[in-house]
Order: sequence, then structure tokens, then C-alpha cells
Amino acid sequence: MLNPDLPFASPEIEKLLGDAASATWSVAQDPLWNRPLDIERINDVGTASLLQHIPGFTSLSVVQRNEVIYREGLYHLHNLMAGENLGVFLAAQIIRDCPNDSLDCAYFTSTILADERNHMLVLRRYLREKVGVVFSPNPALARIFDELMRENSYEVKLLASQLCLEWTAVSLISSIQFKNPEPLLRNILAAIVRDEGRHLRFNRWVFAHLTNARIAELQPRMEEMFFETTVAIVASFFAIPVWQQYGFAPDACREYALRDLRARGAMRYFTRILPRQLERCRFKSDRLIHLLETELEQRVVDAHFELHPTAIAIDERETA
Amino acid sequence: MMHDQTEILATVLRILDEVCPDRSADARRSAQASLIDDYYIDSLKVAELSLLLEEAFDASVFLPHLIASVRDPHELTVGALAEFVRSNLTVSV
Repeated sequence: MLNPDLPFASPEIEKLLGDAASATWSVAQDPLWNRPLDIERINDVGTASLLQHIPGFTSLSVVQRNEVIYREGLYHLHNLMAGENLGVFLAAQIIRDCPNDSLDCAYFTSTILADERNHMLVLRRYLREKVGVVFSPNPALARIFDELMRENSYEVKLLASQLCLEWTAVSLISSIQFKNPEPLLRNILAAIVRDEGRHLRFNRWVFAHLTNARIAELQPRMEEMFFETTVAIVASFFAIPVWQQYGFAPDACREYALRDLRARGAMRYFTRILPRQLERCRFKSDRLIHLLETELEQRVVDAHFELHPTAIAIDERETA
Repeated sequence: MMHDQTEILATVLRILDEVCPDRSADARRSAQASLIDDYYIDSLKVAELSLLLEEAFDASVFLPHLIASVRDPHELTVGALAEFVRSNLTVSV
């Protein structure tokens, strides 16, 4: 256990901790919880479906297409919620395992734990109570979550969960705000994003202060886990439980979705841009970029063959 | 490193050109340009822009924070982005 008389090594982290401790979390009391969802806007949750060019999709009515896009958005929100849940338990492990020569890391991570708990609970309430649709997390994500829980290094846990998984998820989901979405969801996402901005600053600080020897020691494992996490992120874009509900064959879904991701520039982003997160944390790796360029697509396809989702969405309102 | 507002705006416009090569033909290359209507920012571009701005300014620039702070997405202009970057330069850890 940390000695409470220890100092803070960084005045900036001490201030950031103060900001986190005094931040208000008021979205759980938002008056919008007591009003019906704005159905007109809720259909504007998502961007174009990855299946927009599959033959069966183009033959759907406009209403049905919007419904597919809406459900894809909900599927991604469930994955975000699962990531927040993981964040709670990883933060607990990091508090246990991080350096004990100052208060910075353990105490700031305690605010991450509290933030992730708030995010998980508010997303869970929104999805179960207000929307009434439940999806299991994408199996590729579930597998990487398990691996991170077994990981020994607190630095690898921090980088993979906060800078790879959460940073990407929040960046991608923030674009929902462009669509003038359902107001309660907009407020929830805004509250989550405010917290994640603090987490990002903390993560940058941690990696700026690692010794060169520690960086070198962690490099192979960082590359490996960053690659596996990226595979899981891209695999999670495939909303197969949603697509199955509309009768699309998984094989065709994989083919069209991958084609669509390439056309949108997503594969370029994940092979060329996202690895620069690792560089920002002093883990420059040409090997990782080569691995992503040569193996990412195949590994994403393999992930769906190995871990074909069996969970089907349950509409709790319909079954009640 | 110190950056004045003009320099920040110029860097932001340069990075937007890199991230959004398919921007609107009518897009004004100015502080008033809209990130959504002129630069067609989407989710991937949000993530890419955040990272490139961080690299350029060596500071935490978490673009979702700016997006979450506006009530109307049309308030997201190039000028608002440059001001957001400036405010982050003064508080970076």
C-alpha cells in the first residue's frame, strides 16, 4: 500500500487529479431520462452502413436501411460500454501494479476507475432502460479484453486500453455529434469525452517519464499487443449480430464490409496512422507497421471465422 | 515551444489539407470554413486530425473534446479548431 506521506512527482498530475476529483458527473441526473426518446432523431445515430453496397441492402426500403444503421450504432455503443467495463478492472490492476514511489500514478488511475465506472453505468442504463436492446460485445474485443486482464505490465495495459481502444472508440463515436443525434445520447457522449481528455493527458505523462531502458524492455510486447488490439478494433466494426437479423450471409458481409472499410480509408488509417499513437509514446516500430500492412486484413477475417458471434440481439421491450 | 495564433491557423489548415484532400470545391481555406460542410470531416478524420495535430504541436489535442463542447455541429469551424489547439498548448502536461 502507498504511504500517504509520499509526494506527487508531477505538479501537473496533481492538478489534473484535482480537476478530476472536482469534475461534476451530472448526466445521470439529466432531465432527459424522464422523457421519451426523440425517435425522429434516434435514427440519425450512425454513418453509412458498411453493407451499403451489398445487393440485399440496396433492396431494403429507406426505413429498413435507417433501422440497420441505427442498430449498427447501438451495437457499437455496446462495444464501447464493454470497453468501459474493462477499463474499471484494468484500472484496479494498474493501481495495484504501478510504481509506488509517488502518489501520481495510483491516485490518478483511481479517477480513471471512477470515470470508467460512471461511463459503463450510464451507457448500460441508456441501452437497457431507454433503448431496450442488448448485444453481447464483439467476440474479438472480448478476447483482447481477457488478454489485457492477464497482462503483466501496467504500461501495456494502459497503452492498449486507453490509447488504442478507448481513444479510437471515442474518436470514432464522437462523430455521432455531427448528426444532431438523440439529445440524451449526445449529452452522455459529451460527458464521457470530457473525462477521456483528462485520461489522455495522464497517459502521455506516463510514457514521457518511462526510462529508455524500460521502453526497450517493453517494445516487443507493446508491438504485439498493439497489433492484436488493432485487429480486435477493426473486427468489431463488423456488426454481424445486426446483419444476421436482416438475413445477410456472414461471408458476404465480411467481403463487402472489408471492401467498404478500404474505400473509406479505414484500413489506411489503421495501418499507417494509428501506429503513430505508439510512436507518440516513444515506441517507434517499423516492424509493427509492416505487420499491420501485411497481416491486418487477414487476421480480421480469421477473427470472424474463429469467433463467429453466436449472441443474437434481444429486444427487451418486445420480449417483456 | 511558443506558437502565435496565425502560425497555429496556418498549421491547422495545412493538416486539414492533408487529412481532407477531397474537401468541397467551394471550401474557403480560412478560419470561417466549416469542418463538416467544407472539409467533410467524418469519424476517421476526427481520429487522424487529433493525432496529426498532436504531432505538429507536441501537445494533447483530443478533438472529440471540441466536438462535445458545441451544441450545434456547425459551430465547428477551422477557427474554432485553431483556438482549441491554442488552448491545449497552454495546459499540456
